[in-house]
Amino acid sequence: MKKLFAVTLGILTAIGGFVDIGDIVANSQTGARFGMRLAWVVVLGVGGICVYAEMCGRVAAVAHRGVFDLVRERLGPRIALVNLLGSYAVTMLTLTAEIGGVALAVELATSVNYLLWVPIAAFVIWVVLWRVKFSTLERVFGLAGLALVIFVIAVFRLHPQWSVLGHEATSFGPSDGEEWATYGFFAVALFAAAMTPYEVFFFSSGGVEERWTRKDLTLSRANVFVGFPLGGLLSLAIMACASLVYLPVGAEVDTLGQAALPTAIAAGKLGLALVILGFFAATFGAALETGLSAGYTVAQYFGWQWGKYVPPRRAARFHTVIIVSILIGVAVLLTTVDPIQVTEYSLVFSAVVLPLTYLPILVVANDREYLGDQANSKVTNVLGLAYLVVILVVAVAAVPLMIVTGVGG
Amino acid sequence: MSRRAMWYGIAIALVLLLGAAVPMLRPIDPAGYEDRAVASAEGSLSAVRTAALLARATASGKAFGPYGAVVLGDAREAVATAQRELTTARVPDRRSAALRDEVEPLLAESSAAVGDVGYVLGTGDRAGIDTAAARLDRIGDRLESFVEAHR
Repeated sequence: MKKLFAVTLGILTAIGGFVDIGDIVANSQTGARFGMRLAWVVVLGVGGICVYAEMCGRVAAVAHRGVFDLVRERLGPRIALVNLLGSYAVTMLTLTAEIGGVALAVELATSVNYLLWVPIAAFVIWVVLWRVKFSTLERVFGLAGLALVIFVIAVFRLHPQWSVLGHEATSFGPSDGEEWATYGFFAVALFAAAMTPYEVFFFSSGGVEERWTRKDLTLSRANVFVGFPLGGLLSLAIMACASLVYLPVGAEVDTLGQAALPTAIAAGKLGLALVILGFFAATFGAALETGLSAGYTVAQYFGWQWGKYVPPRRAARFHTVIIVSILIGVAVLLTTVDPIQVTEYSLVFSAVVLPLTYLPILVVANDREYLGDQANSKVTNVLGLAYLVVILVVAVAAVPLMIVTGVGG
Repeated sequence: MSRRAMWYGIAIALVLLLGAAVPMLRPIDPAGYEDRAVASAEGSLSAVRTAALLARATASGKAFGPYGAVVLGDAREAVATAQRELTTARVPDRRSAALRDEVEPLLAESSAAVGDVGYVLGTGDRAGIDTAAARLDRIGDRLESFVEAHR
């Protein structure tokens, strides 16, 4: 019974924690412009994150070490440094976007300009990272993120023509008036949103923080194979809501307020309150995860003591990296750069560095020295390699598509 | 990383940077101006449609004040950005000037209509909100026609 409870709680946390500012923005924008025509990318991306997160969970449970820790040892400091630089830069950009997302969510509830909330949000994020236990922060914000289920309810309450949604979802190519390049750009953004690099750093290091052992492999796989796909359903619901409300009137989505409006139309003030709570929880939770991931990547590369399972005094350099990363994020946001634009750029550059993140994971997960009988099976390797090809295509296409379309036009 | 690889890396980065910079440095041509006019109309269209959706949701008691204020603020900013981007572009020829004369009044009307919704929502007057939303719909339809004609 206790184990079932733990598995259920883990799954719910994974669902609620799956969506972040990148998913909200990318899915809303895509839904408004293409309907459900890019839903297949979300499915593809969720499949990819499942394949690689399962590997990371296995590495954490069997080797009891974070992926970055092993990447340096296995691939050498030079290659690992390239990996670190790319991954840290993108995690930093994502952290900035998430802090901006928290401030924007509070602005929606208070109408006080988000810039005033940025330093406050950052301070609270730091206090939570400093003081709150890992399992508590993971569960509280993961579960609060379940408020985003309101998007699923909203889809039903908007009374869609299911056949039309289904037809869109099974159509390949852009809608009338849209170009292939724009279609490709949003496909890249959606794929990157589903496979954001920090998710695997957090999942892998989180497993070590929670002291997973081989016995926890079931829990890890349940989180990955049940929690993540259900989290992906939330992404599809966000896309469907935007598609039902904005596509028929020819409007595009450029703000978090617009992303929330379909739930207000469908479910009134309660729906609106829930979606704002969900935005807050999703972005706050992701800010905690990206803040920790920034610390994990740097500390694991340099071999410093890391993690929240040790007192901050014993992991001072790890916590310093987190604080510095948060301060850089705040400084960027206080230049008044639009957090939604930061999100869009973070998705593009996430796409660029995806191979740097996922190739080493595939290498480490095949190493029998670390994993013994839990090293990748043939099936896992075929899937991992197939996804690596997709990841390479996405990485190569990201910047040219960004330039050609002017960041999606 | 060898020194040669480093120089190759720098050379590739410079070529990419130049490739990205060239379109920005080129003076705007008639086709570019038309693209910009369409983009301005599209930006304004999104703001106008969002304001109309919000007005109707608020009239039905489905949205609360602070949220509405933020969404309308964003819509006003979007229209202002659309206006600024068109105004700051150099007009390359007579046809482009005609295009500007066609779209600028629409942007100005959008700005006024989105601005007016703010105080109408504040009064809570249902009939006034319906009138404001209908006005936004009409402007939205004209913007949509412009976009369709010039895309």
